[in-house]
Amino acid sequence: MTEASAFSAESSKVNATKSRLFRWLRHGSLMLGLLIFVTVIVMAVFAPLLAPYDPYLQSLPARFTPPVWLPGGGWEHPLGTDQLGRDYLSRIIYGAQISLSIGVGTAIVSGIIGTFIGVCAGYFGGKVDSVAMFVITARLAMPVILVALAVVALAGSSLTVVMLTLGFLLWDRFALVIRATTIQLRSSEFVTAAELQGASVLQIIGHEILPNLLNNLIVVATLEMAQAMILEAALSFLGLGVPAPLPSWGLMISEGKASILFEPWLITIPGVFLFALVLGTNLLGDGLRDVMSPHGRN
Amino acid sequence: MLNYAVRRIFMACLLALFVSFISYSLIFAAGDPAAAVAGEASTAADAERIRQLYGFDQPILVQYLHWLSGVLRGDLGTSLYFDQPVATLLLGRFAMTAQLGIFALILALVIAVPLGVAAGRWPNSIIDRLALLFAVIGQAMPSFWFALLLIILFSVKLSILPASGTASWQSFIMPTIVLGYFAMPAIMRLTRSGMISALEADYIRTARAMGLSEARVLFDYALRNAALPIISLSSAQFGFLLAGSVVVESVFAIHGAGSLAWESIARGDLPTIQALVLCFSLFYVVLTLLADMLNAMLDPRMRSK
Amino acid sequence: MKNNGIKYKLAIGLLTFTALSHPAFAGKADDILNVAFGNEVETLDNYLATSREALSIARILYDGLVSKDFKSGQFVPELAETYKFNSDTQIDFKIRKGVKFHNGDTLTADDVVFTLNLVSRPDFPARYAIAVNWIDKAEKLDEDTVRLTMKAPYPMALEMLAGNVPIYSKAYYEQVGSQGMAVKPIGTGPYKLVELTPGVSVKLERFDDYYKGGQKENPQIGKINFRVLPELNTQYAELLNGNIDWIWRVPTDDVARLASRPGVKVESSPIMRFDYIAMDPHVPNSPLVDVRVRQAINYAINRKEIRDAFKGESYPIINSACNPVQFGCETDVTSYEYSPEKAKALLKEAGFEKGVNLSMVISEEGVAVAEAVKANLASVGINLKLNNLQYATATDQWRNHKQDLQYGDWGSYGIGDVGLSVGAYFAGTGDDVVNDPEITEPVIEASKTIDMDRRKALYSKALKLIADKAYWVPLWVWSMNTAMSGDLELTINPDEFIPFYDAKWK
Repeated sequence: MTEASAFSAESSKVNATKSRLFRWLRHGSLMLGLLIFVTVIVMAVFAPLLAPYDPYLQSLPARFTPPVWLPGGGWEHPLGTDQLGRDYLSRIIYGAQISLSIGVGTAIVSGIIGTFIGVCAGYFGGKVDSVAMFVITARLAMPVILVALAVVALAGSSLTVVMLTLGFLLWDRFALVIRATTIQLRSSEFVTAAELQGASVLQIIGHEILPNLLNNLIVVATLEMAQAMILEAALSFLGLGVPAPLPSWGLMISEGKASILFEPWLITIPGVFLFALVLGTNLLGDGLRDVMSPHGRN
Repeated sequence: MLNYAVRRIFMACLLALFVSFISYSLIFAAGDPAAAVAGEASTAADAERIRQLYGFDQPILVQYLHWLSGVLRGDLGTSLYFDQPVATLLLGRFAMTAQLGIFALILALVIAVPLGVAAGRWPNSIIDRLALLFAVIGQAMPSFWFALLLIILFSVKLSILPASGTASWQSFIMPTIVLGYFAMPAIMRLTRSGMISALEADYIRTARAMGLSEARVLFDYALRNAALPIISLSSAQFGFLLAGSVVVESVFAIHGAGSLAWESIARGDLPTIQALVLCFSLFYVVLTLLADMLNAMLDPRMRSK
Repeated sequence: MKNNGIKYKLAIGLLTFTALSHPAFAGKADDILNVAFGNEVETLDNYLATSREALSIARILYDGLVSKDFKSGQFVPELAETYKFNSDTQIDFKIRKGVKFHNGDTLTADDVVFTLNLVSRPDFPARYAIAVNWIDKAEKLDEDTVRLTMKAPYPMALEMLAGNVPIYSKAYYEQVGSQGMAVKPIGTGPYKLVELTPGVSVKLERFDDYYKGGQKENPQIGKINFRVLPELNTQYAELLNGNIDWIWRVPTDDVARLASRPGVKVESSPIMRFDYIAMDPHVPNSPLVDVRVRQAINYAINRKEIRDAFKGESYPIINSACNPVQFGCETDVTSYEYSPEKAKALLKEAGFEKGVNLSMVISEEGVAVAEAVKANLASVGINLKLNNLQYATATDQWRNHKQDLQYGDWGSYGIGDVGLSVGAYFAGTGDDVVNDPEITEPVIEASKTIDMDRRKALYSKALKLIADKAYWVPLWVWSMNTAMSGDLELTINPDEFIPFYDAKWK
């Protein structure tokens, strides 16, 4: 990577862009991650065109039709039907919308909260750190289920409530990791150098700290996305998940749970999609970190 | 250092007060605890009677202070559901959960850290790819799914492990694997990214130039540097293992603190919820304190501050 | 690391070894009945317990004065050998002689008087007050006669005494109190406690000094162990393994799946519980004030199709707001056959052809049926928002008129009298969201009437009105699905309690 940056330093801007593009393309796992991610986005955006059925259309006599590769399955419902006789394939396709928004939305909400608290705590230390640690520990000790129940009792359940609940539930890992990393960076030479040059606090945080946090930020964000999509299923047991007929992969997994011993495909199918998305997100995260690494640029 | 400890203890007390008061109020915001205590076949009149008998009709602050004065006298109260002293109830449940949590965290660390170091040392190699795959499976696989797969395989098909209960040490094998696997991906991924950053740093080049062995470079220098976020994360993960093991506890019928907390909320069992909240908050304070101390020991730069 | 690897292999080796010497299955061979419950057994103090699981165990630890024989429908002697009504409000009980408590003490009239007076005190925290709040006082007339006086004529006195009012030992209760009874209960029942871990397990064994006479006189199985397995799939796995002999609350979808497994037997027994959708016309600005909207909802729901899909034919569809086996359940009422056309016409007539928005409160178990109901209603232009809430939240919101509809079930405490179903929901109490004076009047009168024909007529009037005014969508009566080892015979009672004293090996 040092060679690449040396090269780009000597070359013109056009060449720099070209070389970055080249680096991106050459990065196989990044491309695979991108491919998976883009596929899921395409599924989500073009769901009305792709889905063979209305994902809400019930057909009670056709409940639990197995997928095509199992005895009793057929091509009318390639992935079978659920407990209300809804086409599983269509629900999977539409479910991409819900699961993606939950994953991305939660990662953004929790990322913003966690980074803000973590950077403040790690950079300023002292009293600010004490307050931040108080908030973090309070969040960890607070029974989140209770918080979520109260929110739903007062505000009703909806997709936004789920995203906010999960966001407020998952920011602690961001905060703890970012705080620890910031403490390290705070005492590094380049921060000291910037301070000596008279840079303001905001400049230091914006130019020196945040870019160097990117590594860990991406790792935690990809983790949290997966976590959010799975937790969303757990929340639905408490009536805190997405409201009933909305399809989401997490919810489909949780609905299939009851029958796991006898009809494992009900949980395997959404499980595989979720797995692919998590894999894609991770590959994307790793790859992005590789090609955008500040060490590479500096 | 003493000053620091006093400050932390003061903070812990403040935190316990804060969290326990909030949770007390939330129980009332979330629904009618009297109805939950009265049970699912109770009438409105039953709930009303329970409300008066247990003083749920008083202002929340009055009830809270009443509870708090009990706690200060060392009395955690009586569970409204089990009709048993909360303290004895909790002791057994926490022992179970802590046991499982520690096993799971050890398993996760033992697998995740070496794997993360290897993946970070040789990024994009086959080891890295396999480690990533291993981690992603752990992340994407719902824990109840994995738990039941193990039960089907080891209990129903092979019948070599008990499917449920805590009667013998064998009972803990499957729950530990499930919980540990659940905690592993985050630690592994963070170790990997930490190692990659650390290995790019100047002092590693210096260390290598000085002819130190690769093992010393990796474990003494790079890992030590990558350890800070890992330790912080592990402390959060451990907390998560304790409170978040509800699914695993219920699948394997391990009656621990996680499922007790979950169920007590649904049952409106105020004294039990409050005692659990209190324990969890003190526990997290200790945990974050330990993580900070460990970090300070590992990182001289933090010690100097 | 290397060392670890060796240890690991060793552990695996040990595992395989222990696997070969896996302990023999409990069950028939050891004369131990292993039962798994999904719910925790909270307390064995019968008066503080609310779950069917705890109450079923309590029914073999304790005895009542009388019990109900479900084969004949008659009350049969238990701790009282005979009883005599002196008036509408007074009964004399002749207490059986020589009955032993599990600790060796002998039952006396004092124990009976103590228990009845204790539990009927207004400050006693009995969870189901309805079982005891009709008792005014109990007095000892002589060494083996107890006189019970009611506050007012109460037609269900014997129903309550049969099972819901167990007799405690005065001496023991005064010594240990309610908290002691919770974990170390002493009763006169056919089984006694061996060991209990709160919320985890209960172990019982047969009480050899149990008296002859009464329904439970001949318990067959030596030991009964109860374990709490919260996850249904784990229960199945342990049942298939042979570690568990009996489970209940098996969803209809799994009945056929389990029945196909070797060594497993599945039963479906009708019980008192039924499902319904209730409507609240008193939610502010609710379109449900209009009877035509309520009737439209009744017409729009395809109960048969939904029942067939989720419950099966062992769940008979009902048209009145009660279980037809209950006393006073009038079945000749207005019924609403599935007809979306009629529903649309009624909605149009009521001025709602553009559609209506309504909310329905449901529990986690009710989601699938509720989604089907939502689809039915959507096709006639009613947009139903499903609110899946925890019990405490749901109850709070429903009782305070914050939700339009409620999908619920009601077990009438297992008692075959509409006084406990119609009487619970249409008597103008806090549970009566409808509060229609035309209906509350006959219901309240019936609750004080002893004459059975008169009661029947009053309830019939109320139930016909409920149907005419379409306050409920009555759905279906439940069957309880149980799964058990092929060696076992244990059928639950229609009151949804489990007669473990009747269990036997084949």
